[in-house]
Amino acid sequence: MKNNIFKRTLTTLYEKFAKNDNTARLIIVASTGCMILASIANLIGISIDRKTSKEEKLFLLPQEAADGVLNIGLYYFCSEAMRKAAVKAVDSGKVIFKDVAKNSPEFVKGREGVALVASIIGSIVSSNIITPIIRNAIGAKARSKMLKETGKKAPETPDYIVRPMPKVPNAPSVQHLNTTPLRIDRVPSGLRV
Amino acid sequence: MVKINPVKNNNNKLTFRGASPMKLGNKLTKIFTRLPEVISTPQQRMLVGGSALILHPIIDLNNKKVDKRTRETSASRSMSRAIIGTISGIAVRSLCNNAGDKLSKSKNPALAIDALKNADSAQLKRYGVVLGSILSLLALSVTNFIFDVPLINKYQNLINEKVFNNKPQDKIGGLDEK
Repeated sequence: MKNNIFKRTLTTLYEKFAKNDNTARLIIVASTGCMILASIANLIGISIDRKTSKEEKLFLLPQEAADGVLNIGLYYFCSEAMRKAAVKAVDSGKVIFKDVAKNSPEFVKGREGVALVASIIGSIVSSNIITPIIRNAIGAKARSKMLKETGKKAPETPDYIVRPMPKVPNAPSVQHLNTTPLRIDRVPSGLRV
Repeated sequence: MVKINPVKNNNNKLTFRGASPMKLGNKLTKIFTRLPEVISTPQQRMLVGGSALILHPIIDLNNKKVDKRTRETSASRSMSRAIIGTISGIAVRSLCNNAGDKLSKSKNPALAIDALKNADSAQLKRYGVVLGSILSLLALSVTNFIFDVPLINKYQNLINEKVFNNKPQDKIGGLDEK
């Protein structure tokens, strides 16, 4: 019985993806599955990471959850839409291959190649441009809402660090510095004093 | 007064329908017909992961809705995830696709489906990719937890420290920094 279901599944997958050249569709479906797994693992990873502070987790967890849902949904939608548009463009004669007869094996391969490029462009645009912009906005909102609920203020990050002054005993030239309890180090972007 | 008469049978419309077809030359035709044989799941992962490594940190660092420290933590995580996720993704997919290719050629009764009896070499190759994709889904559900998660966390902190100079114990703006 189990063997029957397994073989039937394999037959369905063969009919859908292997019988005819359907590489672009196979890649989209396989990547969607992988992304679902990666997203679940990522969320667990953040929640168990001890080095990330609670405040950072408050931002990162909703951000990554939003990223996961958006990433998977947008990836599938954009890649599939681009693939379908590419196939339609080739079939309707908007894209013509030189010296290749319509519906010949070369034509089918070329059409699949165009669909593949289109779906990869769709996946790059959706996963690497649209998703991060939207997830950052959602993550920031969710974080400020969570901080409000917990009664905490969002930590402000100035571009300087306040440090205690080093004490230099019996050094007349810098003696006056000891009267100032604090010094302020300006931190240029990307550098730390 | 000047009277403007509409032009009859005017086809100069700026619509997709009216656009002239894109004619691909010999070289492009050759490239596109070869692409389905060359590009598979590992190559796709490489292209998407490589572009993520460049684009994600740029977008994260320009997110003005959060403070600087959080922006940098977010960018560190994106960079770490792009590096580790791409390396492990390519490795797992390549290994699984190779295994799937071998499994499709082996005469294992568990994998021998009736549809394969009349399959040509190209169909058999594609069946190998299908088997490889199933294997990589199973493998990734394990490697994501034992390889990706700990390494992404480790490299996130490392990038945060080395690239953005943010130590995990830093209290920015406070006095308790040693």
